[in-house]
Amino acid sequence: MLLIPCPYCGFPRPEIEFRHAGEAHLMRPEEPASDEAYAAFLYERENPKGIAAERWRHVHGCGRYFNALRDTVSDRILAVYKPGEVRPEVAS
Amino acid sequence: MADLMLTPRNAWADLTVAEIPGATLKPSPTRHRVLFQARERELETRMKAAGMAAPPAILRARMMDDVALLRPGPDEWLIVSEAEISPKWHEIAGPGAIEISHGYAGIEWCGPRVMLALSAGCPLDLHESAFPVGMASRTLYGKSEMLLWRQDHARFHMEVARSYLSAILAFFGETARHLPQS
Repeated sequence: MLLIPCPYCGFPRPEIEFRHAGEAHLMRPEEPASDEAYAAFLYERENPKGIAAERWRHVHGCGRYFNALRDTVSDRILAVYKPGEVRPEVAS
Repeated sequence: MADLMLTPRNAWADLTVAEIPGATLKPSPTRHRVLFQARERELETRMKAAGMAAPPAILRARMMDDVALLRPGPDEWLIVSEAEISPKWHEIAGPGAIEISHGYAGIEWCGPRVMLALSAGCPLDLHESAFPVGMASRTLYGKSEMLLWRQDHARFHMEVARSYLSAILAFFGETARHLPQS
């Protein structure tokens, strides 16, 4: 079982308590925005092989959303941080 | 008929509890619950104004007078009490507080093998070094979400949505069949 450190609870918690909530750092385009900008906001995702910034929710725990950097190759969680914080630099 | 609809049905009605030697599970006498959201600093100010001690840290519970104050999330607070919750506490909880007494059921877990029985369904490490006395956290038991509060080395209090109670008791019954006998 993957252990995910929740930045609110402060220690690693079992994966089963969490829900994946899509890519992090998506910004709604500022109005007036083109259809292309909205299409990109709604549908275009990075889907990288390597480090991905994702939102997670500790749904069966503190209930909070947070961001995590996960290596999609090794499935390791490299860093977690609260919404609004700057994405940390990590080596893969 | 109106009386029947107004009187809440006991959450434990028609449910049976399996017997596991060394791990007893029974209805908790806590009947009153109020859930509310508040920033820690705001709550601390309100509680100090009422002449109370500071609120507990995150994932901790504290007995305060006749009620227990649990903090399952950074801004989330749950008051649990056997007696009616006093107006003083309602004032502290504020206008956004939710009365959830009838939606939840309290379970008392105790006995020397209670950790073993709980660990069969709970993914958290329940060793006292990781889950000390006084800790309270929402987590899972089987597939049911619940709030677990360790009151003593071998005594836990569990808060569950009453609709999950039958699933929790069924899972407990399943554990009874798989745990080693001694």
